[in-house]
Amino acid sequence: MLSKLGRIDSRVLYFILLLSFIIPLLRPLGLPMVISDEVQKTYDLIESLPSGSRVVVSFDLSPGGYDELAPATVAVFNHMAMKGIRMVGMSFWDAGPSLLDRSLAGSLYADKEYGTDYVNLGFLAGGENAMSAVARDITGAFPRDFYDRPTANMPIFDGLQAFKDVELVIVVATGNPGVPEWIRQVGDPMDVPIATIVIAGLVADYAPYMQSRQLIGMIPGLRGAAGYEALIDMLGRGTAGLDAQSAAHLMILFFVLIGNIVYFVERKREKDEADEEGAAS
Amino acid sequence: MTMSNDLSVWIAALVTIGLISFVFKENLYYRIVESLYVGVSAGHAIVLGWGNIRNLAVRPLGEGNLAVIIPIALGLMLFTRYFQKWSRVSRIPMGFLMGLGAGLSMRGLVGSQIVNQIKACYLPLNSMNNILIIAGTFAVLSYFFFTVEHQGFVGKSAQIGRYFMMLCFGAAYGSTVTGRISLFVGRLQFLLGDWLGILQ
Repeated sequence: MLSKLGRIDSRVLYFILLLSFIIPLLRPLGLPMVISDEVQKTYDLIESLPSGSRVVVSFDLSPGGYDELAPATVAVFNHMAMKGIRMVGMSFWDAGPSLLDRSLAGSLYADKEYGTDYVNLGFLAGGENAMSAVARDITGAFPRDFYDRPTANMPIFDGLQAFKDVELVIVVATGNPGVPEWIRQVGDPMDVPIATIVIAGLVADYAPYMQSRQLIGMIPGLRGAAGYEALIDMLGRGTAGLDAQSAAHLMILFFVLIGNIVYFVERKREKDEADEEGAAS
Repeated sequence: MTMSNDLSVWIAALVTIGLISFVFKENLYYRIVESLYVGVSAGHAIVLGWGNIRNLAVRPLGEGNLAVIIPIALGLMLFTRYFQKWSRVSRIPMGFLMGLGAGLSMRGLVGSQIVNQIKACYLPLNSMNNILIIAGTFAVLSYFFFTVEHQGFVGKSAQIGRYFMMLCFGAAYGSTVTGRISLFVGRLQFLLGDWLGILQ
């Protein structure tokens, strides 16, 4: 029985894993959720901003990481829009502006006025060098937005020249250039608070910045999204997906456990057989 | 509970299924979708790159801003690498780019990633978290301290540093698995919700 388990086709495991995803999505289990300190800090910071504040959102991500970050991004956008915070979006990754558009369309900003309440400035090549240029002169680095409209006359930029006039920078990141570059070019030298919505794989890398308070808040992937949705009382895809994620985790742990049991039992059996053969000869 | 009639959703759904089909086994459908992704990504990058050139070079030049001639010239010099006789010229803008990039990084790197991280370790030893942070920092640093042979106290400290790093790698790996699962959950929500319409 155990040796059969050890030789099971991996596609069978994939199928069982797929069911562990689909069942909780169709019938949510309502598993308990804890709001982490980093998510709470991000919420508190945005909550403390007065209406009309300007927040820069840098969409430094690839399409491959978008599904993980989209629920958290939409939740934060909804919170900002409800608070009347104006959003200046930009990207230093080529796919960023299109993905920013998708998140904006799915949030409460879709009902706000473009150019006054929010703007998508598009993509600027050059990574960290470009970030440094934008930090000093936003409309100089982005003379036109993603839709090729001139930015200088947009009401959102009245009195907004550089990042020193910005209340918060939120970096939506799947890699570099991303959080470390923003901290180097804006956070530390200009004393602008930085928060991040980040893929779970980068949480361990960015945790030291939270400890040193160079990052004010961090929303990690789907778990962070579910927490943020609970905080703003607008349950969405983050909450819906968390059950599926937890069920899949449990299933993977079960597979790992069974795999290890099979491995050790098989190894012991082989050793016993070898000992018996040795004794017989 | 209705299936999407949006063409873009259908394309995204079929492409997603094509990529996931690799789990079953490599097949022609997967390879077509993979090639399509590479092509579309390259085309997208070219279009956005041209947008940058148009907004930051062509238009300002047309409006009489002659200062942009310098970066345009430096940019064009990069292309000389395709001509053997003139390829050395491309080193000038490359050197400029490297120098600028290194300078900008260094300016922030020392303050942000060395000084501020050291400052963040000035912690009172009044909680288990703080004790772990300080012990972990010393232990990991001693692992990379090769001036003294790793024996005795330094050896023990380096060994503990190794354990700390193993824990960190484990946490990073676990987070990565979580991230991949989140991605798949997102795709399933798209397939079951946006495409098939069977999710609320």
